[in-house]
Amino acid sequence: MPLSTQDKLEIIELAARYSMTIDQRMGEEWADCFAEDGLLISGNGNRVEGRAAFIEHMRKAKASGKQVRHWGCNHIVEGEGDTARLRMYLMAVDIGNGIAPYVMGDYDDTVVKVNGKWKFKVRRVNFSAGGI
Amino acid sequence: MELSASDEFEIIELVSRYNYAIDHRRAEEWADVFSPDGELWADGKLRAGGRPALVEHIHKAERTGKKIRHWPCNPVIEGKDDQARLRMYVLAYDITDGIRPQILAEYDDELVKLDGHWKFKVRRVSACGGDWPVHVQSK
Amino acid sequence: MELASRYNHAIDHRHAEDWADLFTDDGKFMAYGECRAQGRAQLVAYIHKAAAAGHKSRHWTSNAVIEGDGATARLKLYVMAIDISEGIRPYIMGEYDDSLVKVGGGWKFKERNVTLCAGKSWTQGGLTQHGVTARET
Repeated sequence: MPLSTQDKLEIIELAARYSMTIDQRMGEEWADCFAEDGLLISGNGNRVEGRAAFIEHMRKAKASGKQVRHWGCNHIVEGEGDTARLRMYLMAVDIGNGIAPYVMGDYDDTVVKVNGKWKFKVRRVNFSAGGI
Repeated sequence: MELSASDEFEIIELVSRYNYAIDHRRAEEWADVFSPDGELWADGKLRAGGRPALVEHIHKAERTGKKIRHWPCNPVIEGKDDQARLRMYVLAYDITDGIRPQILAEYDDELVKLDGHWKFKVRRVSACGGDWPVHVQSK
Repeated sequence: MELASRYNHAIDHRHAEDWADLFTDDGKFMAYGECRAQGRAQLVAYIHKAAAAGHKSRHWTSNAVIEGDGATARLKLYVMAIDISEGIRPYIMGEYDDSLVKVGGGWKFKERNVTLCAGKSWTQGGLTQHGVTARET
């Protein structure tokens, strides 16, 4: 069954929650955006896998003191039934001192529906400019 | 009743209309996206409440002579029946001369559905980077 | 709105055929009051020309307003083009005002019309490699 408009909206909103929770350094809520066996492959090749690792990753990000905001745009959602592919753009902005974009990238994600809710199974980002 | 996909689309489009109207200094059109008793709060202070004050807010912005463009992102919508909460980011650019990021902020809004149309009841914006445009600073 | 996203992905990754697919057969791309390309062959050539210019950019769109019926629609959007050849630098900000039609169950651009609010496009020398207005921000 092709994805409904409702499914597509939920997936786009999942990406928004991902950005908001990462920016607020909310480890539990950020981990909630992923499936149990979720995997994040960062633009620098770093892999973060599984709930405990996500929470630890966020704890480290918080400890770094870096203040950032993630911007998403140009969502394309394709899929059927309980599996979807999400492609979108990312711009990460450092707001510690003024407003300075430091990364631009493209996401190419696998999203799955678990107990009626969409979650990232694999979130993969390629940096097209800048870096971390 | 849970919000439908078309409720969510309508709310996202209301944000677009808000931004077009504020950026092109169309005061009446901007006031139309609020309920008659609608309020705009910035960093915990009431900047404009009720239609005449909302219209005046845009006239004031126009008098600064600045050209601004509002870029929204990351909408998260929750609610039911005729009430909703919208959280989102905004990045405003000053484009008076070149393209310069002015302010990065977050909204946490209350919306109501009046006669079948979504409107902002309370729009609350908090700065997280950069500076407020002049017309907001000077209040 | 997804059509607009596909447009941005295709133009930024220089996928000329995919980009042309988003227009009707007689689809037209208008920029700043001038016709830049009309019909499939010219649309494909436009992307090849952009690819040959060698710069890397990303198109961001936001603030969609859609009006219309089941067969035709008008789409308004903000657009910002960001130069990522060196650093991350917005070099143009503009607005789309597009006519869309539904063809065989899917939406296509009949006419895409962009007007400028700030900056300069790559064809007008708004990019570093093309000299003149570099570093205006």
